[in-house]
Amino acid sequence: MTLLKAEGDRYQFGMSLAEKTVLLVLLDRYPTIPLSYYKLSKTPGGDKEDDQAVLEEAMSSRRSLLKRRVTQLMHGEDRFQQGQNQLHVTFTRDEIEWLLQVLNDIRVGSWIRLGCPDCEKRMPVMTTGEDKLSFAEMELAAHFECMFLEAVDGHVT
Amino acid sequence: MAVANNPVTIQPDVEKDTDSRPKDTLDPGYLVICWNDPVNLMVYVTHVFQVVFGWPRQKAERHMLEVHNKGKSVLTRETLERAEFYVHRLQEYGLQATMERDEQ
Repeated sequence: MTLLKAEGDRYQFGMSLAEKTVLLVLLDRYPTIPLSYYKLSKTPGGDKEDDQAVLEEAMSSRRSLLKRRVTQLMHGEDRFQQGQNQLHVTFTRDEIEWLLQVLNDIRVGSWIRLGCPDCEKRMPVMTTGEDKLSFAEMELAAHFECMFLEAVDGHVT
Repeated sequence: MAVANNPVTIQPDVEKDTDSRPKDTLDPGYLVICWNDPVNLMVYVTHVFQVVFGWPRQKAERHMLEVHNKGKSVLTRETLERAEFYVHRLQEYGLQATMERDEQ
């Protein structure tokens, strides 16, 4: 996937059919982070149980909204146009923010499924097919995140 | 009773409303903290700080590096409502953010 052009808040990307397929499969996995992962505070005491329930409810409805938005976005008619050598797809800045949130959810959710390893210090030992799939999803989500970040921020190396 | 030809001015109630809004709501004593984790990409965290707080890249990077090197960074000090808002926004992006009462 490469950035072809950026005009105003519109970004046109080129990607292969394989990249499109992988991206759609990844996005379809959303949401993957357990709601209990989010905490409002780390300080004990207060109305923590009530606050936690409210937080999880709010997060759940935001996720449903984002899921709908991204599904409509990616499966809309004429979303992907056939170019000369690859597919062309255009997103606005806001749409890229939605995609970043979803992709990062998939990355973090995969990491949680792998047992929250610190890959900089030690790579996870993947013994099952499920682990291998989680690791692949984590890395693929990061790949697409970097592509989008490079497009909008231009400083990913 | 007031006479129709003689208009009456009713003064507004100027008493302070102290019951409906708890003191905490207006007290800018809540810290929004972002915690380190080994999964979120550094460039992603910088991006999120820029989007959520409207910070320039340099400031966002400074806080991102503080999270990375020291385990956490205090991003802002706000009222209860604003702190909750920022925590929710950061969590929407998958960052580990919490709000803590500033005891100092």
